Amino acid sequence: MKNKEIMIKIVAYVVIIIFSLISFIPFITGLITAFKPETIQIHSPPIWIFEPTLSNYERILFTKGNLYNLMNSFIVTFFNIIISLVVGIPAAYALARFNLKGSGALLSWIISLRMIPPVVVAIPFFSLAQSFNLYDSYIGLTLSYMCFSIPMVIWIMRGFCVEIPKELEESAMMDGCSRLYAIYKIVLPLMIPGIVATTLLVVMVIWNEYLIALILTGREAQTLPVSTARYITRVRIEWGSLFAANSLIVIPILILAISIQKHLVRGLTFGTIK
Amino acid sequence: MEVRLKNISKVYNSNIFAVKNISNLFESKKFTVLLGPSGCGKTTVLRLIAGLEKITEGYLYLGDKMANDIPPKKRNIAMAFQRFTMYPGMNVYQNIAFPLEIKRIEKDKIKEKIDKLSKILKINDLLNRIPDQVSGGEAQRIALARMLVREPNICLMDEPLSSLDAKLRIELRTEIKNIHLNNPRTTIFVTHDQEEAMSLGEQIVVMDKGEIIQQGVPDEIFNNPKNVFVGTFLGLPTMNIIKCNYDNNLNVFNTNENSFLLKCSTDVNKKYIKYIGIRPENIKLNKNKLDKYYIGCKILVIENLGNKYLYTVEALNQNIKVMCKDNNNIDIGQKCFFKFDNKSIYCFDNKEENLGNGN
Repeated sequence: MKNKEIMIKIVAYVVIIIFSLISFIPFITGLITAFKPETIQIHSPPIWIFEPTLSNYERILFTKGNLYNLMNSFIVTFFNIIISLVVGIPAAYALARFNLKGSGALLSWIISLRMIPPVVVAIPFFSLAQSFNLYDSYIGLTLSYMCFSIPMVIWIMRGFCVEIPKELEESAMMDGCSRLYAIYKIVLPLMIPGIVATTLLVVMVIWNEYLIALILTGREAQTLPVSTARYITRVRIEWGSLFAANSLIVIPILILAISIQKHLVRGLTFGTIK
Repeated sequence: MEVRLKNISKVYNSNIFAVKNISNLFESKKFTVLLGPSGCGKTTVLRLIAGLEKITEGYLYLGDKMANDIPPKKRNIAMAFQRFTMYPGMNVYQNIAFPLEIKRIEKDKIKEKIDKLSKILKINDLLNRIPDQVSGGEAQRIALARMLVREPNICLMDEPLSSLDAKLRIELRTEIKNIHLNNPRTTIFVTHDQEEAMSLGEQIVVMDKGEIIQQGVPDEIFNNPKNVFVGTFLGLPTMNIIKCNYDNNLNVFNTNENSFLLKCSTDVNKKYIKYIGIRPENIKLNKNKLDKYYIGCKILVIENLGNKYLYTVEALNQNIKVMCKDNNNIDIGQKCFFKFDNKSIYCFDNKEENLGNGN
């Protein structure tokens, strides 16, 4: 029995390691390439021992202007997540708590928004942005993203709100709190793991978004994924710059995920541990 | 503070009546139990009094103030819920202190109150624990402490003991009663457990299908049920109900196929009797037919309850429960005879209303 358990564990670890390697190798290779001098970037066979250089980063950040794109990505993602949470959490709470007329239909409509492929709305968004003079602006891009991120926040957060016992806030209301204060004092602290998990999921979607950003932005509001794609041209691919920019996209998300990891695990498993 | 309901209705989704036009007075400093089966509207009544639900129609008075539109936090009502509602992220002490902190009461006074109360409720060892570290029974004691610490005008309890095991339930029941006797305040306690209602209530209000069926002191409800529903709801095992008609010529009661003799008091008009109710403990069982009022039966099941025996017998085309102190050497399958104690017969009319005791 014990041997069998050990065997199962070994097999499980082997499978996990293989899959981790498969998903990590492209990323690691890319990251290594980002530190390679231009001459050996596409050498065959690959050269693994070399003197690392920051020249690729220096070039993309200061010569090619990717620092500005990084800032754009930050601005758009930041405002988008803040507004989405501020609008989405109260909506999720209301849909979870109150027996509103037509709330079922409203929920279906909200989830159906998530099902629309971005490419369907990209052109209408473009013409809307043009006519409202919002083309290539933070506001235009943020507004467009909110069409996706708010439904996402509502849908995920509603699940968390349903899990929180109604009696807790009712109890607080009986103890002398107003509904708003009860939510602030009792419900909100319980929602934090959910909010953290939702934030990460939404940030990942918005931060990596390519298509709408490509269509709605020109020079001014261009985000990092769009500007990164510029390194693939008809003439050649600038591998060094491409991978350096690539790592710039990945690393902030990685840092965010690691820094909120403690809450994240609780958030993603919320409801299953009760 | 007394609580008065005047023609109150609560309607959900514009056609589902949770509570139908009920009026009642919950007397000041009395312990009233709202008793009824699940879904009868008793919790809704409690939530209407608490202000957690809006009243669709009618008026609610707390003392002499009309309270329909007073928000919950201003009603000075404390409530204990069925599920343990300990605030997460706070330890036991902070949980109990919460209602006082909202009122901005000084820290020293809070501590003094909690120390006193926690001794009474035997939770003084738990004050530093977090919600995860307390058991169900302890959590409910803590909920009681949080309820009592603010000295509310009215206490509402929504089946607070229903999720505890039987032993703990009886223990806590005694304590709730004790606390109330030492410091009486208007208390409304919701339960579907008739034993809990009988033991705790100074007044019992029986509800069914959103309406109040009967109210009174426990003895009155038990001994003089208004109808078949109340009669069968109180008492365990439940009252036997025998559907029958009175035959004037032969002076016997007829069921579908059988007939039997019954002594009935003269002030009940026998021709109106459609149901006869009798509690299992008021039936005598014997091997022999001692007089003409004994009815033949066959023993189906014998349950030994320790200090008494519960028999299920087949007679008059139905199963009848009989409770006896000793087993009289009776075995399963045996033919026996039973007789109703004529002082404890309940007679109900065709609307299942009580015509009066048959004694």
